[in-house]
Amino acid sequence: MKKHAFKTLTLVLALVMAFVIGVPASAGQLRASRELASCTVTMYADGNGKVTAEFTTVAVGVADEVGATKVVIQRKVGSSWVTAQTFTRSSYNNLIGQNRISYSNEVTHNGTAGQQYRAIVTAYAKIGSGSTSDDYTTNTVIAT
Amino acid sequence: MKIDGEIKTLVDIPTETIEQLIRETPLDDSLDINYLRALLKELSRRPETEPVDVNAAWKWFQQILREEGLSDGADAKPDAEPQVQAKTTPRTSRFRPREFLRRTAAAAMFAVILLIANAAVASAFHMNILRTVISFTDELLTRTIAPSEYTPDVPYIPSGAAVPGKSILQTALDEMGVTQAQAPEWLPEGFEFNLLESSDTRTGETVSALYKNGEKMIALTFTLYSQIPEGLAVSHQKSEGEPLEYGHGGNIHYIFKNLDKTAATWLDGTCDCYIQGDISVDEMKLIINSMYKEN
Repeated sequence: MKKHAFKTLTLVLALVMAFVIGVPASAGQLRASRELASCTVTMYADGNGKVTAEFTTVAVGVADEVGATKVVIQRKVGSSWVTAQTFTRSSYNNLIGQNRISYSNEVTHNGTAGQQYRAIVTAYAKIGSGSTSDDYTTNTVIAT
Repeated sequence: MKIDGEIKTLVDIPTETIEQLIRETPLDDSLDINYLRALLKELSRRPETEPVDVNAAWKWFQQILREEGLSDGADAKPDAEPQVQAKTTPRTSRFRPREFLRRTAAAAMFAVILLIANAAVASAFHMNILRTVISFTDELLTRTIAPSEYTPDVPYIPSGAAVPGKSILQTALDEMGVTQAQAPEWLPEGFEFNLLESSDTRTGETVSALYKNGEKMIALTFTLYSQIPEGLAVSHQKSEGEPLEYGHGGNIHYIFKNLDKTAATWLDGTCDCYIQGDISVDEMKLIINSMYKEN
């Protein structure tokens, strides 16, 4: 019984290894996109506890929609990141541009001086029936 | 050691008898660890014929540690569960280091064979596993200004079509204050100016221009920063493979594929430049060459 358990464990480990190798190979392919070309993100402190996340999204040609569907501002608590504020395209009108190649904008969060912040920008581009979303994480800043 | 009325050394005792002696050894306070250790050592010395029992091996290992005084007081306490199991197990097994190593080696060889098989399958699908891993982990292209030690490997501005929209894009770049990069003076034949747009943020201003030739397109995007923001991350979607580094005009231009599009990106001073389109790599190099003032 224990002999079988040892063999089964070996087989499972080998299969896990195979999947671990296989996942990056396929995930790497997903980085290419027919709609989304690039995204530039940065975050900076504005003073008075405010932090601003900025993004520029470039589509592959003229896109029906290009920009960001969501910007999540995160605050560092201990060793973890917790959501401080979420901006979505439904609650914040200026995240998406239409019939454009590129679109830039920024969102500002009223934070607390001395705290660390970063943002995760979900870049988005839609051309015809195809669309691509991808998350990009900004640098970390300390609110001043 | 006295067995069946005879005094024998351990080497004279059959394996089955030693196993029986181990089974009958009381695992309580009266345990003579030296006695048990001698039996176990003798067993481990003999040729292996039986499978490894992990619990027995662990118990043996703990006993050795306890004897050698390597474990602390908490760890040294006998584990109740293995004791019960040892008493009720009808067939005593032993830990054999050589057998364990042999099995570990077999498992490692199996994993290596699996890895090679994976690579072969991936290769059949035109995927380089290692290269894909690198491109997947290297999501951000860091642009640096290169020294002027590169020479172009294609001629500057070949005979080709004029760029109808050049003056519009150049005007926009001039108004932005772009003094480094220029609008291209050469594009592949048939492409015509189609669209110009701009947007700005507090740290930079972006202008994009689109040229079209039927269904084919070339888009140029310039973002001029008053100063490069600290922590600025520029990420480009791209297909598998490392970018081609193309040096010209003192800059390194990273040329890569995004599915069927060819793209190039570089930093010229504080201007972030990006070109993408339905063009070849050589055509991309020619466009880049035509964007430098000094030429």
